[in-house]
Amino acid sequence: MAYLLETCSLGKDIGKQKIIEDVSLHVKKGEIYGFLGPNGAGKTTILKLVTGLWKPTKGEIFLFGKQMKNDFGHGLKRMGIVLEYPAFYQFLSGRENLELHREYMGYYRHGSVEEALKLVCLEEMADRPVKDYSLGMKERLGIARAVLCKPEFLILDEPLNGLDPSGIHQIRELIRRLCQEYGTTVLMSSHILSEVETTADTVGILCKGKLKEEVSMKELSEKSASFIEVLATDRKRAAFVLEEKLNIRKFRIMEDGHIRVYDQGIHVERMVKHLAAEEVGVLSIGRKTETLEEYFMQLVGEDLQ
Amino acid sequence: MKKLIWLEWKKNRIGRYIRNALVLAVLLALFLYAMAFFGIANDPETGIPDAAPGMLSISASTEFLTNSAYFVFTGVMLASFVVNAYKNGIMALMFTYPLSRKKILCSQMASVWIFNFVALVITKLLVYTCLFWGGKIHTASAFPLDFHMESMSFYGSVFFTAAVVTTIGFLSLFAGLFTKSSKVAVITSFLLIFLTQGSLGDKSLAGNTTVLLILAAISLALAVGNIAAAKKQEIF
Repeated sequence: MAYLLETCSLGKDIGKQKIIEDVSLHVKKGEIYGFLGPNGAGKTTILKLVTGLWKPTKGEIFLFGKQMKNDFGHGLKRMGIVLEYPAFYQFLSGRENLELHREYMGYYRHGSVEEALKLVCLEEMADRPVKDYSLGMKERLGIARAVLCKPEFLILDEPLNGLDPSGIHQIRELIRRLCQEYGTTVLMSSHILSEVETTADTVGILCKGKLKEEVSMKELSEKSASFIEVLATDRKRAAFVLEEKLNIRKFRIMEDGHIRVYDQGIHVERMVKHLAAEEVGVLSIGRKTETLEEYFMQLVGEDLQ
Repeated sequence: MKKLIWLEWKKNRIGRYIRNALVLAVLLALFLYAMAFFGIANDPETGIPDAAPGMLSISASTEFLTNSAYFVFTGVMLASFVVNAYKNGIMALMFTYPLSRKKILCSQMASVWIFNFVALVITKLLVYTCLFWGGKIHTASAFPLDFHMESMSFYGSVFFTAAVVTTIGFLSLFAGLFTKSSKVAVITSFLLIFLTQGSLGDKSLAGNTTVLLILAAISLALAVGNIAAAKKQEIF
């Protein structure tokens, strides 16, 4: 498998502290790779390493099939990058900032600035100085700058920070569109699990500088346990019925009072019938699958505690 | 490199600096003209110029004022073009462009150096031209007009001093970068005035070409070192 970005045992120490340890990432061409992790997990550090802003203490980085050492110029020409809070020339307008970016990237296609502004709905504000922009508008302008030169590889660090719900929807759609229409590969970091779940093809879960797991969403849905979730009037009695009358062993009572039954082959109707026969009221019942959030918590929960 | 320098000027709105440099040149010319021909620096009781030791000729005052002004001007521009770029994330953005880091830093420094060198030469020439023509119009001058605009060595000296002063002005950049503070860069430019133009009793480095050349060489060496280190630099 040829990867657009591959890191081998990447490590970064600052002083005696290991910020990143033994991270091996594999980003396939044309996919959206969601980089998940709690705050301080090392997501931005890895993005800084793969863009050449920081130098790794150990390990190797392969971009577009070539090993990157000191000169990232070859890779950077084909990338669009938004790291942390995007920096702008505050006294220049949004349009002027994009034009400057185009000059530095050596990209002169006519109309590209207008297109990028339109993609993020900033045409009306384009001629106002960036210092007058809200946080969300700056985020959108940062994304417009990153996609301006039609990059093959887009790196977005927490791209949804500071965006309102409609902005989040807009950027999510933009990322999907770039991926589908232009074949752009996207590596986006986030700590908002639901956003990654709805957008990414593959997720890398990072905790305390270590890559816990790298898994495709397809694999994840196959791996994820499906279960029947019951909310009963009397959970102790309900648990008794499940164990004694239905002979169910794999179930769990959750903190919110729901009971999750993991035994396969049991029918919802049969369960309702038995609970009703034992005078246990069923408030809600349904078949569900574990969310990415639950999977994430299983993986990193202990580390976070 | 030419294009990168041009982009540095464009994004830092060089028009503001051109306007300020013009205003500064005109103010300095007016002030020195008034000193020479309207006696504004004369002691009202004696009618003799109330000048510090070493400042008894018009060229000494001109050099002191123009050089001092451009130490500060260079410091302010460096703080804005380079030190602030590190502080506000612009440098991280610049380092994500497919350009050599050395070129980026060179273009930033060159854009400030070229501007200040040219502006200082123009300011000096404007001031001396005003004084020269003032000497033709007015019969007497409070200070001896000890410069010879007809001589080629005069122009050589103007260019040489402007180059040395602008280069020494870069010491403020390295102080600013070292402390990551644009304020330190500007304050250092004031300290450079005291060091190179000030006097302690009757001792001054103002006319000491050797010391000025040593300072310029140190500044140049720091610039080269800084550019060479850019390749491995990590922006936090």
